[in-house]
Amino acid sequence: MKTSARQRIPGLVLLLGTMIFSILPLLSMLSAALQPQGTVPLGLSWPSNPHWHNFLDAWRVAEVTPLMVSSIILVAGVVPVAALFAAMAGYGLGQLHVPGGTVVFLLLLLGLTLPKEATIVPLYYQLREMNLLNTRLGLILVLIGTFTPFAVFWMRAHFLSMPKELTEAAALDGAGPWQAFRHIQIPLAVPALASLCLLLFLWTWNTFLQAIVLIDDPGKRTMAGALQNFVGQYSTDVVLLNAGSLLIMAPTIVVFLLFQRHFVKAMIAGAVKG
Amino acid sequence: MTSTAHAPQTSPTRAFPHRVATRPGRGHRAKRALTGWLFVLPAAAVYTVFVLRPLLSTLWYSLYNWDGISVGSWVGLGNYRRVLTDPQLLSSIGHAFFLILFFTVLPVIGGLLVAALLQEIRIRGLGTLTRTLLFLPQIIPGAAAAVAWVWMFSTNGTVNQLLSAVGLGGLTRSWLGDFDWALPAVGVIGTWLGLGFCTILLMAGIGKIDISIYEAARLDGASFLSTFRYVTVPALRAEIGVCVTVTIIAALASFDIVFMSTQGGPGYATTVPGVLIYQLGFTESRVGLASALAVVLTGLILMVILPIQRFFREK
Amino acid sequence: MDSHHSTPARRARRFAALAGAAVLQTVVACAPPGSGNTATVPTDPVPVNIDLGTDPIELTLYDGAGLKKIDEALIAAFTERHPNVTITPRYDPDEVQAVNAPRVLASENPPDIARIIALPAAVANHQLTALDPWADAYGWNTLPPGQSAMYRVDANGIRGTGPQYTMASGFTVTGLYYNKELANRIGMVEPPTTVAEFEQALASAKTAGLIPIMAGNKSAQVTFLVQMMLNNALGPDAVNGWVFNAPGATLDTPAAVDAAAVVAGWAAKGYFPADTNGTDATAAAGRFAAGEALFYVSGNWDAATLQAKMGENVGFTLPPAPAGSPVLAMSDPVSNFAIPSGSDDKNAAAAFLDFLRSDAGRQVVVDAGFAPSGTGPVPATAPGSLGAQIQAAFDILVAADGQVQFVQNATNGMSGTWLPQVQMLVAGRTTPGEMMAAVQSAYEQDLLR
Repeated sequence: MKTSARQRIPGLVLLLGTMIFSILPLLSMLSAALQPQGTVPLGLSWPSNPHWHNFLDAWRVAEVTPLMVSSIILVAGVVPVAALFAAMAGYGLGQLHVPGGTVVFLLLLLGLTLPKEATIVPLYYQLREMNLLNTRLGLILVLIGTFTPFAVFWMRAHFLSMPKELTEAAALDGAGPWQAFRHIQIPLAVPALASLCLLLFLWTWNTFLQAIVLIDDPGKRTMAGALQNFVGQYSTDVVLLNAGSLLIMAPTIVVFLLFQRHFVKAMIAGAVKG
Repeated sequence: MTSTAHAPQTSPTRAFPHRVATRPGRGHRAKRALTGWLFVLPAAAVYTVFVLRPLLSTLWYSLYNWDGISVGSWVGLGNYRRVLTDPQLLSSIGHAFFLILFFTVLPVIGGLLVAALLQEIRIRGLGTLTRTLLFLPQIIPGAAAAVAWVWMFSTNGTVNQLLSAVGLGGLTRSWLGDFDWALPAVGVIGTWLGLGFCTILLMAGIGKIDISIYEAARLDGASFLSTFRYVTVPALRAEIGVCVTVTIIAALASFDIVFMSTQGGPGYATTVPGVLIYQLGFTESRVGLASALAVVLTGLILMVILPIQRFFREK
Repeated sequence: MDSHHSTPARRARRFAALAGAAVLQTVVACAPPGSGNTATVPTDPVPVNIDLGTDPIELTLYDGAGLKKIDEALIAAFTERHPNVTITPRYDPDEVQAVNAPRVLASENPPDIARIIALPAAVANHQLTALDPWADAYGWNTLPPGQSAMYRVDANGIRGTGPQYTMASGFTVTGLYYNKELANRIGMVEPPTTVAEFEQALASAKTAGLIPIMAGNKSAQVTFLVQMMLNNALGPDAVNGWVFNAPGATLDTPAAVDAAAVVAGWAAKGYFPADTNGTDATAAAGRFAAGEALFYVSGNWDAATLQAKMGENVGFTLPPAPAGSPVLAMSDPVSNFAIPSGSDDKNAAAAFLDFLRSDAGRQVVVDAGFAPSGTGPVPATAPGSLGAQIQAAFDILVAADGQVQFVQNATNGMSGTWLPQVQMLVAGRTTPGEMMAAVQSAYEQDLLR
């Protein structure tokens, strides 16, 4: 049965409108970024002579290379560790016997709806006490903690769906719990882990509040966090500002384009499970 | 399936003792418990140190008047009194709720309409381009979205350009610097963030609905609107719930967007609790007050989300 | 899955009770926040010596990253004079230097010269050395009283009186920049000195279709104008007293409200750009340099940019004062340097502080684009340049002892109150009376009065 054209056309129009609406701000940034530097562009206007070199200048001025390195370091620190800890905890809560597991569950549930503002102020002073302020390690630990509730729920949901006979069979073969975990459960959990890692990558890369509060040096923050400094410095040159901001956004967009099917699936599933 | 010939005489380390008759000793259960705990420990440790402990600290700080430098002085519930009576602080909470209109209501309605009108075009059929474009706003950092929209809303920006192009040139202004329009403008950014996401989510959800229900409805002579109301919306209950939850949290706890676009200005026109907490805590050294506001914000979010979750998840 | 002895629900309840008790226990038993920062034991006074000898001395200096240029110039000039002294500078990003300073001061190896922003707190925590012995030895009593007041805080945390703890490396000074070409166009031959002349120029500019005053009110620049009127109405002692937290200080008076009303009137007449609340300080400087407005209210920190973009077309004048009144302007230390109580070589550090007010030091500071500390011959500047005009104006200001502190600095949180209030005032969303009442109320809440 087909929906009538009369019904489909407004739907398509709406959909098209939403798509244009979604891309419009980025297009207008692009058009501004290609104007001659120092001018004040007017809205969305494709320049007759696009100044593509503005992006090179902005790359240098916004110091994009160290920023990317910094974000990559942060991702490398957060994603594997958070995923591993979450897999372990999810396995524990989903398959093993954990006394007080309900309590842990409830506490993690609290963390799911907790806004980041609820803990950011004391975190500053706490990291200062621990001498972790202005260090990537401090930010990494904070982010792992922040992402733990969602990640544990995600992996727990996966492990709950795994048959318990697997563990029992492994135990019969003499495998200890860690070996069962490592050699049997983990390989089976790869799809869930992969989706989780994609989400964790995205969230780490886009971290803003924690980055600007806990790290002073803009070069050590995430790329999103470095935007604050960049905008403050270049607020007058609109052209350069837009070019630099596009560069700062580019890596997430590129990774998304490469993995977009997985991303969409993961984000939808993540939202539903959350 | 245990083979008695091979099974050791002492009880094996089983994950679920009560499934099979065993002879567990007390130490055995303890060992099992310990194993379970060891698996949970790393995540629990990081979570406790970097989330739970600061949470408790927020509660603690909120009872003092502290500038972050000297020793704090006890004020008990004084900060909370200020949060609930100070017009500026209250209005920030009001602004956050106002933003829900743009962050949640508009995207959900828009997404529902698209999903309902296009119900038979499944996600897979949408094509890469559509999926990509619709999801793009959620991918870029909120701060970057703010920068993009600051440019759109500026005096020389695209919004004014479009208005002039359709002959509404009289409406142009510096949107984010205008006392009356700054908050709706920030709201538009929120709509932009949520619309694509909700559209995709709802379209995915509608893909699960059995076509034959629509057929039956049509055969019964039901109009689009009544099909929409009695078939589509109820069937999408879970997905709508997700949309609503995610976007309401984004609205109430918003920081990145407001901070990078208006910093709460002009005046107090776009102050939201998230930005106020940052300003009070770090720029103005009013740490106790910031902490109290953080506690109130958390409480508000919980009070709003829990009923919503219950409503959308039952049945 | 759980043990036989309690249901999950009962265990959860038990846990909640325990957790609640733990929270209460923590809250009640713990020390107030910030207790870790306090009180290094005051060390024994060091014998004062103004002769640094010839043995090598190593000092460290701690400041905000924005002051790197001026500090390095000062260090170079000082070490030229005292070759046996090496000063290693250390910079923190500007916005966090204030928050980091207490911890840095309380550390085991504090710097020898440190920029202090929250002076009363540092003194209350016994983190600074009282400089009076060196003041006597070096003769700092010749400093202008207005400057000396910026260095003092008493035992009750009231600034402006008490022992001296700091010395400024240089000063900011605020005033009005004006576009000479546009001034000629409206027939303004001399920059205005009285408020009446100023308002006349504003009216002429408006009639001629120019923007009378450029202000980036997204960064609250109109506050400068409000304070200029407050300075005139209340006098330097009252305004400084308010910033220094003198007991009973208040800005919620009829005179202050009238002063704010003057600025509100200018806004109502359209003397500011229509989108001033959406324009930040950097953008405003750029627009003034591009010739959009007659006046621009700012300070010597913008001089370099404006000189580069406008060349000879820009002039500087001190804020207008009522006829017959002394000239007043906001001016505060660029870096208020103190000697932490844990410093190893206070004599050498004090020698550096004294150098700041010497002729050589003053010249270095002026070359770096700031106003000099102390008194002395006017340092040389390129004749006719904007710097020369600013220097001449500053000299007049110091001679008249008219340096007033910025009202935004009265408490740590004050700038966060002035900003939205002034934005609302300019947009007509609040009355002058409500604004001054709100400002005073926030002030009193911050000071727990």
